[in-house]
Amino acid sequence: MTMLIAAVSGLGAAIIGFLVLQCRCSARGPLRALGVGFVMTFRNLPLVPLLLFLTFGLPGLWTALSGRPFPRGLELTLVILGLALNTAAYLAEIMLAGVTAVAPQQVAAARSLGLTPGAIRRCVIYPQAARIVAPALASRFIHNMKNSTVALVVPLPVDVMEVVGQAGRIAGQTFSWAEPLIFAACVHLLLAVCLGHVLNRWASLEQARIGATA
Amino acid sequence: MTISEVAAILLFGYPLPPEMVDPRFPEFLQRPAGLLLTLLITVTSLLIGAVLGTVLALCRREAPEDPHADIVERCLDRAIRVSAAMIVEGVRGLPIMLLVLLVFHLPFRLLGLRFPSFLLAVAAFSLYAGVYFSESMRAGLRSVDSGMYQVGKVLGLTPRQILLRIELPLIYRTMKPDLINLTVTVFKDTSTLAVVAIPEITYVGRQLFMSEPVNYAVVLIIILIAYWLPATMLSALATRAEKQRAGLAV
Repeated sequence: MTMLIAAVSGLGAAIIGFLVLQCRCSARGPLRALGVGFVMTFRNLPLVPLLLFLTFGLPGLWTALSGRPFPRGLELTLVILGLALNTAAYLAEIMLAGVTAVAPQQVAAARSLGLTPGAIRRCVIYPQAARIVAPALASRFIHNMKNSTVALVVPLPVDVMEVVGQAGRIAGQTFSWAEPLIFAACVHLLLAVCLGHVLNRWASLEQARIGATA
Repeated sequence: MTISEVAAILLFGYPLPPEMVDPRFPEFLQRPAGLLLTLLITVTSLLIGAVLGTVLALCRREAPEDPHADIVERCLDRAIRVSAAMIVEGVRGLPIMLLVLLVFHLPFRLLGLRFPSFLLAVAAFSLYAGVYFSESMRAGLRSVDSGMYQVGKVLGLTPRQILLRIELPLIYRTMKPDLINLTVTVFKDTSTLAVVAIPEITYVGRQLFMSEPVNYAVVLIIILIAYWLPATMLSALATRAEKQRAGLAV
């Protein structure tokens, strides 16, 4: 479940982050301000109160405002949404760094070749930007996986609980805290090492391609 | 309850019963809670973390090969470096929530030791801050030209003097944005302490919700603002420091 939460929220974060990037690169002022505001808001909010707000505060506000009861069974979705928003803010920042790192002469060159702005972004900027920031993106995804443990503050149904939450539940039933926690720690270390290995490999491949093209 | 009462409790925790207050000292010092405790834990663990991080970074440093070192010294050197690396990588691989749970439960369950919970909280976050501090310091130390070390040696400085007088001032500016970001991270992550019943602001919010007829959403919004404002200001500082660093590199 840790892996599923991490994967879904990571994917969601990538999509939201990309949209925010589009906002921040756009020529329209309000849209840009929206992007900046999004990053500023969610980068500086801690996850625990954020998830608590999404799962406890939001339903209360919903009923107060609309007078209808909040739909049940949305906890997991809200947790994933919270994680995705948090990671997306960081990802957008990293992507922006990548986009600004692409040399402006390349954009000028592409424009003089007659490429449309969309084609410039698709074929010139994004591929290079992705390669430049690949290591930073990789470490953010690992952070996202580690952040999924924060989901334990939210009362999720047992079958969708992540590993530390399960450890806590077992500890509560058996009154032994050491073994489940050590097991959960081992799982996390293993996951972090494996995911780190895979993502770093991908990042170094991407970086090697910069070297090959440069 | 009015909003201001809620905010006051969130900032300073629940007031102590009057018979427990020692009139000689200000009340908030006697049992810190709320945002005050959050800040206290953040600052203390950053300070301890800086010391710990420096030690870890120095342990892992690739020292210039000493031709006169015998085999025992070399093995010792290797052992220190490997164990420091294991601590750093181990803690970095763990989520902070899990680290907090481990620090709070293992000493008692395995060894039967009990500590005050404030100490445990500071220990967990010092470890966390120390490890990330050491990584940033290691990167900084690597960026210092090795010629500096040799110059210092030629001038007759001891290794400690070289570190304090030459290298640390040099890497301070490269480390500054990372350090501010680390402060923000530690500040935000102290909210995980709510799961082990440390009365920091998130936990006090929960207490309020359990014991008073307040709207939890409102309480949580106040808490989020209390985290968000300082974090945003620090982030702005970090961005400025980063620009300075970029200017330095050019």
